Amino acid sequence: MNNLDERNHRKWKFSLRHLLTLTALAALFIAVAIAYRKNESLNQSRAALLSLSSRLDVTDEDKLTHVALPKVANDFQTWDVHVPPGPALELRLGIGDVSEAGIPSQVERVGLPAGRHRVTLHSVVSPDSGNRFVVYVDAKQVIEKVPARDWLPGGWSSSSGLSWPQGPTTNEQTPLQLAGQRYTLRPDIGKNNYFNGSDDSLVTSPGYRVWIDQPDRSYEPASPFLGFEHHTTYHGIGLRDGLRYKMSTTAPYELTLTRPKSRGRDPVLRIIPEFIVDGKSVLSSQTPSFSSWQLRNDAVGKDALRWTKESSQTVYNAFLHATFKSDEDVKPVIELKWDADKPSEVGLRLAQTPANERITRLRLRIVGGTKHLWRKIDAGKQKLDSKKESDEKPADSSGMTISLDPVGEGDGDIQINWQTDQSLPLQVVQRNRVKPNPYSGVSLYQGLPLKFAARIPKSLAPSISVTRINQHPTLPDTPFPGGAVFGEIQMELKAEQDDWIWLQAQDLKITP
Amino acid sequence: MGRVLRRVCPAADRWGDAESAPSDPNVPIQDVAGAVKELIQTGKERHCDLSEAGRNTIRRAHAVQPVTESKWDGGRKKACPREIALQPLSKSNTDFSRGVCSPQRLPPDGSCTIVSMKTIIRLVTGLLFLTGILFLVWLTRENSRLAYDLSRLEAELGRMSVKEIDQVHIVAIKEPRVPSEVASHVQRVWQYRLYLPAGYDYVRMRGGGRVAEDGVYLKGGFSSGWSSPKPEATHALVSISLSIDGDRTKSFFSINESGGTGSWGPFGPEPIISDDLVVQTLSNASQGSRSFDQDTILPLLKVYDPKTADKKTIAGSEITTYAGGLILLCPKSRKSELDELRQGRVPNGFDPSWIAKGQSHE
Repeated sequence: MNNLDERNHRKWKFSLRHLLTLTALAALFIAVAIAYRKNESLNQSRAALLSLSSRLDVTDEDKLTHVALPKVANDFQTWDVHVPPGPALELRLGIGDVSEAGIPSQVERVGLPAGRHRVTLHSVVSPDSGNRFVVYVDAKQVIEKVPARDWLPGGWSSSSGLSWPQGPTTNEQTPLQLAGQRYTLRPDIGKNNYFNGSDDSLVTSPGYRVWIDQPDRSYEPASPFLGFEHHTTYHGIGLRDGLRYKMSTTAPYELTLTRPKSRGRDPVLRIIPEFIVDGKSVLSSQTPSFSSWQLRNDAVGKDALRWTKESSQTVYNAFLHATFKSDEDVKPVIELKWDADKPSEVGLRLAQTPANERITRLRLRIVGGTKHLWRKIDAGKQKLDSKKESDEKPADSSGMTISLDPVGEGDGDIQINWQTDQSLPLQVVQRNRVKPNPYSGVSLYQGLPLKFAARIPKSLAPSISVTRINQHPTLPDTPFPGGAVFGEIQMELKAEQDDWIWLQAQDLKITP
Repeated sequence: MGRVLRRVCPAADRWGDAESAPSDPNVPIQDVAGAVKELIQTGKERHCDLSEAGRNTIRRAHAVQPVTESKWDGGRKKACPREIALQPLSKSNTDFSRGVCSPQRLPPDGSCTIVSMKTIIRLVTGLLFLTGILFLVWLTRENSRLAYDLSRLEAELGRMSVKEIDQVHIVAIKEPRVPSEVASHVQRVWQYRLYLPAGYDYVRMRGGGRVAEDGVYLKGGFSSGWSSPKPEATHALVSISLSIDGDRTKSFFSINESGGTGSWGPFGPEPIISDDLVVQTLSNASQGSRSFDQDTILPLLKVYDPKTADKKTIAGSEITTYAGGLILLCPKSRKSELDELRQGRVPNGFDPSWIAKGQSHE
């Protein structure tokens, strides 16, 4: 029984055969590890060199493939292209107004048979040498396009690359864009002045695209609106080249409107609304329970804003729903409206919804005069100049309120216009001043100078006033640089839900 | 029956530790199972081996005495009451090391697949060998292909052996690829492959006007661009070209497609880039790759017309200057010294080794 136990409890013995097996396995493992490390190193080196190389790697014969050759001259770009067998493709050169979303309307095209080709674009865009675009395929000139001199009047100040427009995902093969460039016009501000403004890639400007596409594919012009399903609200919603509503992270209560077309990303219009019920303010910038404005598709406010693209639609609306940290009786809803036929305007009103029915009056403060140096106001027969006003009535630190009495024609709208007294971009004004810079501490709008207007229906019985400021915003006992400005415009209106207030901002003519 | 049991389990009154042995094919397995059943009932049985039991044998035994579990643990058989331990032996009577036959997993017919751990280990070992060898063969072939591909890429981009990973390496590309439609618009083209070590922080500068034969003196317009140091070492492609634009010389300089053009003014009385120009490059194709410390100023290319010599006294020293242009990389740590050297002044503690010599004259 002991023997049996011993045998039953017999340990597994490590034999020479096992040793040899383990040694062979270890040797194999080491060999694989060394080969694997070498493989990694070779792959890294190859990837590093491939990124510098102009080799066209065709891994799939049925796929349109390309590689850019290193540039050896600024105005030449060359690509090696593999065109797959199958349906014919064509090479297109489009020149005209482009944006991140736009395809130029003027398109020159040439067939591109299957096989390997070398495509070269020679682009000369210069106010001195003229504008010229030449496309070569396999060293032969196939397209030449010479835009008119006024295509880029005054030349360009900056250019940026364009990627292919993003849109709703389709099953169709995306065209292969080889090059895309947009040019930002140089404003005529005089030889000794320098302007450095910045728009965004969604703004329409002169440019070109070179791409390979199917012959039967055509493109509609880019929509003038921003706010469709595939758009983010980062660049704002509204008109591509006009006023866009953009939520402010620093002042969430303010309704901020930007206009990147004017080469500035800061708000051009900042509106602070106040909602009044029977003489009592129910929502203002001082309401502690206010949380945020939420962009919605309708006045009921169920769905987040997602416009549906319809090529025939020229008007789009958005609704701003006030949300609160606590439950409030009155939750105002503001409606904004953009009309493609009014490219520089945005409409604003109380939305037609039961949520607004109790509101009796609406007060709008349009602020930002110190940034835009508003010094001239035209309210029909009444014309104000902030500098002249200051001569007659000395200003105090909080500013002085001046009532306006604009008179509209007949039953039409009342219109007031306001603007700066400067004819150059304010950044140029700020830079050209003598040292020390009197505008130190004053944050001026960095884009092109703008003029503003508001059109208000008489039915709203508007009461309008302006505040003149003659104090430096940061330095005590110091007058505002360059003279007093109108800091803000106030409008008190009847809370009618039918009539629109139209606000306008457009470029002011620059005189160097 | 007793004969059968004594053959199977020769120990007398307790059978639990009986050693296995091949069963007698003349004794039906049902009889054996029946006997074991009796022994279990009388408490004499702890376990009993059943040798060379096939599927049908097990099934028949199972019909008589239900099999609960059978285990082998490192050669030690754990006895379990009310069970039949089944241990098939190989033809060579070698012992199996480990295996499990769970009656819960038995199909209705009582059949059981018993897999030996020894077999599993052998199988795994064999699989490891096979997989390892196949992977090694594949890796060897792949490495061979990659090495060939690398050699082709190096033939295109210049061969460079990066042994000192903290140094800047440069090699000229022997035949820059310039399409014919582009070649007619540019007079001279140079391309270099650069290895930039991790964290290399440099300024690139291109300028035209008056230059000196040695050093980085430059009087004229220039433009510079600042790089962002990368956390890892990178390779870069440098392209430089000269072309004629009206009566001026246009220079193009880019590093990894980032760069632009500048006007250098006429090199001579005629708006041409003649073969008489003196060209100093930091590397040419016949020399192979060169390497430099990170704090060395690297004049990549200097071009000047020797017929435009003009002697000038700058900062107390007489310098012969020529109409030409200069393209260089400068470590940011040497930027202030470069500004002085560019103006013909000698910075404090200046050592000629701060500036890499353009050893190549074309």
